Amino acid sequence: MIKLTGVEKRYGRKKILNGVTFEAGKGQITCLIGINGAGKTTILQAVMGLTPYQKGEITIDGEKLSPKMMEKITYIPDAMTLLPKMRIKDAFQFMADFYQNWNEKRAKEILNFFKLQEDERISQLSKGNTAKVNLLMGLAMDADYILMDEPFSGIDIFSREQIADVFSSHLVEDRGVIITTHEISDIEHLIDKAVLLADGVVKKEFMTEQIREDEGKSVIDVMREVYQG
Amino acid sequence: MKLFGKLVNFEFRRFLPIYISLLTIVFLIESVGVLSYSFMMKSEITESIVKHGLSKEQFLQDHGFISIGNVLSGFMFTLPIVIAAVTIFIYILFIWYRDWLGENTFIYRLLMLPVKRIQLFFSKGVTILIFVFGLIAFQVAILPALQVILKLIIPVDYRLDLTTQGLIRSFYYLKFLLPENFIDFVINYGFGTAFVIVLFTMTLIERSYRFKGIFIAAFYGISALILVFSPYILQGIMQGYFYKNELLWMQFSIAIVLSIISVFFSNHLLNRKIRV
Amino acid sequence: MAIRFDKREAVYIQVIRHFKEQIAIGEMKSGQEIPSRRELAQQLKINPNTVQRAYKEMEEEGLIYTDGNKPSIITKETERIEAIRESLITEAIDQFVDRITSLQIPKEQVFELVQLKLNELGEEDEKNHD
Repeated sequence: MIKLTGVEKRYGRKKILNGVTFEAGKGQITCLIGINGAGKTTILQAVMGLTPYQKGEITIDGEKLSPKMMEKITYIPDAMTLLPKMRIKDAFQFMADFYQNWNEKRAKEILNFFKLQEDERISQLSKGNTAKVNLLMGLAMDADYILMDEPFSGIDIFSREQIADVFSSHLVEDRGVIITTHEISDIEHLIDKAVLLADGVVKKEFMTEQIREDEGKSVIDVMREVYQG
Repeated sequence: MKLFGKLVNFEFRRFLPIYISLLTIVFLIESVGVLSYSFMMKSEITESIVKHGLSKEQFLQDHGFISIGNVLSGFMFTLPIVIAAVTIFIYILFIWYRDWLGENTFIYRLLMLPVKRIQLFFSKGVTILIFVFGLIAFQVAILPALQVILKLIIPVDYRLDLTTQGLIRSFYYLKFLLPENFIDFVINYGFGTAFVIVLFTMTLIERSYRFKGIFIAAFYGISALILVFSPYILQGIMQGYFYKNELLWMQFSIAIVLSIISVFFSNHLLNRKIRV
Repeated sequence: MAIRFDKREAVYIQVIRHFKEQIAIGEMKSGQEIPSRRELAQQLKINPNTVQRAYKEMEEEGLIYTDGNKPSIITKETERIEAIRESLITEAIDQFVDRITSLQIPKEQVFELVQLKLNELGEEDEKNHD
């Protein structure tokens, strides 16, 4: 389980996270929802130690972040982080060089699934394919937890469908997934848990099936209540 | 440790294209220097012997022996050394900034590698050292080759050929970079390494605190500089109490202490303060 | 298989209802293998945990049956299938009656209208068959 307790982050005088507390379980898809600037990306970066926070605690299966943890948890940022000169196969080599949990077989499988070629250069990828390669790099690791930042933003409908298919596939089976989005409709039925953020705090945290069953509300109904009510 | 080697290899390969161009430029400029010197001297020989009918002895009395040693302190050898030094200096900063400011933000990947982050720091440092030593080795290696150019143009009777050691000794910058005395060698590269470490730390301060960091980094750098030269301030106060040698060792010790502090500080920044 | 999901109702309940309907109309036959939880999640584009939950409930209700590691199958007990059909019919009738009574329409008129509607559908069916 990934657990955040009272995480606070200031940048200058501005409070970006104002005591964020929530949990994301293994074998579940947890979705961080909020408008841009709600602190979604910052939360993922804080979990990965990519940005400092001043207060609170983040643990992964009860442990704090450490170098060896980078094989247990992986982060797929919104932007391409591989070098433009690399070909996809160079990127594979880079990952294989540094990660014991890199699963080459799965990497090739996802490559086929997304209909990408090994020889394509990172700099030549379309926006949709960039998102897919990003996703691939994370999914091909045998990691227990995968964090994805806006996997659906700014890409074409077909790429979105393909990426959405990943969430109901064996590629995320038994893993803990946290994804951020400001647009829930693509994945409403794919997620287990929704965490609604605004102004750097968690406004509501709920299991989607439970809210549908107990209160007869869709995720968007709850969002409406929280953000507009 | 295996991963550290891979990191160094990776960093090395990233700069390799520019590095190879740099070595090529060094070689080309120096070749042109030797060529033009050789042809100039050859025409001098022709002129004095054929036109003025001087003897070989008279020529040598006027001009001395023709040797590559005469151009090693000249512009065509100073220029490439300056170019190389400036390039490497810029790369000491660029080796970090490229990971943030490059077309894609590679720093994400680096910080998420399953290695202690201070290893990134060391791998980049070692890469810089490799480039420096590589450059020196390259310079030493091409000197005999450059001398061959001279040999092909100037007849043996007019020449003074130098051994590799002689070449190094008559090349001012190389004499500094490759001192014969081992202690001098350690001191020179100790200062060099400390310089790189402090510069890296300043970079990381800026990368952690951004705008505010520029001032902290500047303060850090200036403080380090003052500290390293503080023995001379002390010397002023004590009115020349210390030997020159003692001052140097004091400076050296300060540089080492500064390096150690900088490494610990950088480790802290990389683990707790860095932002992508 | 495709389901149009209601976003305000638990997805697992909708999956179970879909199975029941398919069984009632004979689209799914007694003893037939059903897709694995992963396959169904992929087909319906829903969370595998949700499918898991639906299968678990259906198993408890005796709707499907799993023998060891083999794929689950639709129950072979005909009474169960009959019961499912009946419960679906009862449910539909209940809903219908609920609406109708709230509109306060006389019984005779209701029978008449139902008769008329069913005849209409029957004729349309015949036309379609031609």
